[in-house]
Amino acid sequence: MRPRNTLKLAGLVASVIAFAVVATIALSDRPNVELSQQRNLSIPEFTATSLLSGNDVTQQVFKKEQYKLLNVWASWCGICKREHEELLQLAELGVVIIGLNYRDNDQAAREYLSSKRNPYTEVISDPNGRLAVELGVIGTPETYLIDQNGKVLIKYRGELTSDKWNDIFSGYLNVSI
Amino acid sequence: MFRFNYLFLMLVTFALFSSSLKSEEIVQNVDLFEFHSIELQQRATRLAKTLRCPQCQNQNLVESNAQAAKDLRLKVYTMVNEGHSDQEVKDYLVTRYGNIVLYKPPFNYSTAMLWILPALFLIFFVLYSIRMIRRD
Repeated sequence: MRPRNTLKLAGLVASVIAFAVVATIALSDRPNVELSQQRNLSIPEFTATSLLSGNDVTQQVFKKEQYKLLNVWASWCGICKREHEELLQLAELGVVIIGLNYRDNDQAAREYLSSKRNPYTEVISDPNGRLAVELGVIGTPETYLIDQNGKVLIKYRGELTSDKWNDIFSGYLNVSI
Repeated sequence: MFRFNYLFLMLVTFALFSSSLKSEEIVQNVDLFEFHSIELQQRATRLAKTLRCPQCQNQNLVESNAQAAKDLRLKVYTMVNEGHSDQEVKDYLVTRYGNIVLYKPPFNYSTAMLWILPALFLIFFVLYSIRMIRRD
């Protein structure tokens, strides 16, 4: 009787361990981060208006530096306000951040930037969410890492905290906050 | 003379106003989308019903009135109307939004648990029941 019970216990322990391992592997996939290695996504050709200067902005704005961030934000978005401090910090450390102003009122967006300081080198105005559909934006805020060829390397959805930055992005830009 | 000037001024104002209206970007209402044919419309609606709105809690692109769902519905309708196949539309959305937009995700490494686990549970319970019945 005894060895049989031991065997049963061993079976239970083994199945619990197996389940834990599978669950850990599956969850370590980090659902709010997407690496587009198998899903190749590039910045499409577009012409939009700059929120800051009023001039035209095209996909060329993404082709200057090696790595840059695209931050999707709006003045009506509460979580964007929470990550604003991190964005300012990054901008001060020399990270190029391009803003995509998603479904916003231009005037409200400009007031937001002048009262909270502007971390963006350029802000693309997207009042109808047209470019956002091309990029697969689900909601604000989202932060993408984009390389020199306009390829999206990382898609991060949600608030950008310093922990998340150091964990996900800092390796590419050698900047940690 | 005064009357003529007044009329002229009104015409000029109207002309200016209407041109400024024209220069405003026309936002297309997805619910008024016009297809080339009724077949295309049926195909597009059927396709949109099999796609999940990524912003919503389990609603498809036709059911949901969230802005993101409307944007995507318009994109699906436009692509179908331009002659793209269902698979091309799906690929377009999966590239941008991920497998979350598909109600029936493909079988691969990251979705293996989702597909295999129910089958494993079924096998386990069948075996377990057989054993219990035999014991009695």
